[in-house]
Amino acid sequence: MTAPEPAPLPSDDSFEELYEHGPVGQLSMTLEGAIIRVNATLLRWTGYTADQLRGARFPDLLDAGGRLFYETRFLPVLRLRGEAREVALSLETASGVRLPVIINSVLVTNQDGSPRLLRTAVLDATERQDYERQLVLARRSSEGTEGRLRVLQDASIEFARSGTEDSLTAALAAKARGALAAAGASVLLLDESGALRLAAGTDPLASAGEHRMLRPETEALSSGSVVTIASIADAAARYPELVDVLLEARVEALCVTPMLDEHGQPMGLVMCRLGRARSSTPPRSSCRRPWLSRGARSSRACACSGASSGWPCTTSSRDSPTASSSTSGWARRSRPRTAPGARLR
Amino acid sequence: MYPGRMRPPGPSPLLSRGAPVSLNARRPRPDLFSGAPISLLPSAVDDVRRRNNVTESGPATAQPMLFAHGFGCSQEMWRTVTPHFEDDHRVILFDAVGAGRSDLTAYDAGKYDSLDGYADDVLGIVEALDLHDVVFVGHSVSAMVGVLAANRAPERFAALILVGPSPRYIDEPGYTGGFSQTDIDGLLDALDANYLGWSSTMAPVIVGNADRPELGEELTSSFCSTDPAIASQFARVTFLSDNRRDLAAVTTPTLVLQCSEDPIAPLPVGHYVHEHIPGSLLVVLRATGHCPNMSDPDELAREIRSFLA
Repeated sequence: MTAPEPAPLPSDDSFEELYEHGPVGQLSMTLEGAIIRVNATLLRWTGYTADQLRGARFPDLLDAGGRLFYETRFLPVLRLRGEAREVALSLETASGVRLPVIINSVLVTNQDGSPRLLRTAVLDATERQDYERQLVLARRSSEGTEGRLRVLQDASIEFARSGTEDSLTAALAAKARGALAAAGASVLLLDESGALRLAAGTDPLASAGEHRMLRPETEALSSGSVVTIASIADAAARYPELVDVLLEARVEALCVTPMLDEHGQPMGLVMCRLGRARSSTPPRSSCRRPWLSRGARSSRACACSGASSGWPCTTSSRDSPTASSSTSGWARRSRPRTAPGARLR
Repeated sequence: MYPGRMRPPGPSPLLSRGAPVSLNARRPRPDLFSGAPISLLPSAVDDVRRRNNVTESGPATAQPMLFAHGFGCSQEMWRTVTPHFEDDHRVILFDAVGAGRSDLTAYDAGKYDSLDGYADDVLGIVEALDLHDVVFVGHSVSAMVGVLAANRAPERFAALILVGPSPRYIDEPGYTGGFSQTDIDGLLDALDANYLGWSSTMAPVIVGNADRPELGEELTSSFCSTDPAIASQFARVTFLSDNRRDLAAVTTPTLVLQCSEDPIAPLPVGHYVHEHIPGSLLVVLRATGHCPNMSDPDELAREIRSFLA
């Protein structure tokens, strides 16, 4: 029995053909990003001529976000490690449409080890990018939800664990600070005279325990709603007298959340001081459930973490009083005898 | 991702890769602010060293030079610069918390939501190592961190070397920072998109045993890796902060080193920094790009030396 003669394999021996027309874009550039050589496949994908690209700067083909990424993360890795793999970017084509790509790059060195040029393989990632974008959006959304739940969960656990007013207010200050990524947070309680006293956290405006009440605090107490200052510019427009106070304390944004008792009367504030401006005003109230836990039943201050803006979602003031008629909670004890909300109005 | 994100309870996601775990991340840390004077507590000093992965070279009694890396990488960025100074300076390098081989458990989203938190750490290092007469060399965002630190403790700093500084990346009427809010959102998207596919290049790797040479490659790859949530917040803090008003308060002698074609901190920004820091000197480098510490370390070192001379 003789084996049939195998058919001769076709040849693929032209390196030029492989380089120019292979199924991958090829690009060589200087370390400064000037394009030296491009293959035919990449020209076909992008619609440029070789003359248009030769000498052009590769980072100029990226969008601004990609350029930032390229300069701050991609290039340093390439220089330190000699290669960077599977980096997602998008290139501007001749028609102005963006081409999503995945690139692999290597650093080519001279014999003495000094860097000579960069070689980059480019893959068209159009299909993949749509899918990945959806993944990213889904992940951001789930992280937002997860983050909010976690804050609530952590808070309930902490509050349930807190046996004393001190530990409860300390937990509240810590949780509010964490939820907002705030530089500092304080819990301030109204005393009988209607003054705010520091119960937990840190307060640059307190002296001898008494908090110097400014307009955001007054407004939060009288309205029962959250008062926020998004930036120094926002403060300059709405609370010009506060600008110097904020700058002095190196605070760029502020979130003042009133705590109301079961009758809707203010008993204090949670005050978060943020070290960096937030981009916009916070989203209003998607979180209407008060923290239900021992000791905190009457408090409806709800600071859960906002999604991308970095603000809390907030309970608006007086909806749905909680079912509790507990008299043992800290809230009852710290509630002023008179109703400062009425006075402040 | 959003600034309020906190690490979920349980082991760090970085530790779930099966790699050996750095001892750095495991030791319980004493509270620095419990009231005792920091400089008298050896454990607190160790703590700062560990938190920021502080490394030192050069004679211990020489004038200290503190090098701070920028957004996107780690102290490794100074690899080819520091040899120029090790003969006659105490060279101190560190990783910002969240970057390189810093202690990720020390990351606090509230503290590091502004550059002040990073300046706290710089002053913590200065304090813990009992540094005086410090030459601070800060690249990119860390240039502004140095400004904040020097403004708070000017008596500790002899010179500020700001490499590619920008007090504000976003354009405003009357100010050219080089970027719009949309551009920065694009960077955040790029960061996100690249964490999906980053298996080898930039994925975080924690390696505990540097004595095993077969781990060398992993070690290298960890230099520029960052936890994705931290990278995202650091990007926001870096590119959305506005520290222009801090420039005028600088009293430390300052050298502004500006690259000739810097796509991150363009020339007008270098001029702005120079014009707003009283008495500062501006030198425009031949080096292009945003990282002269990597593209032309010799020129960078030469200019620093000539300023210090």
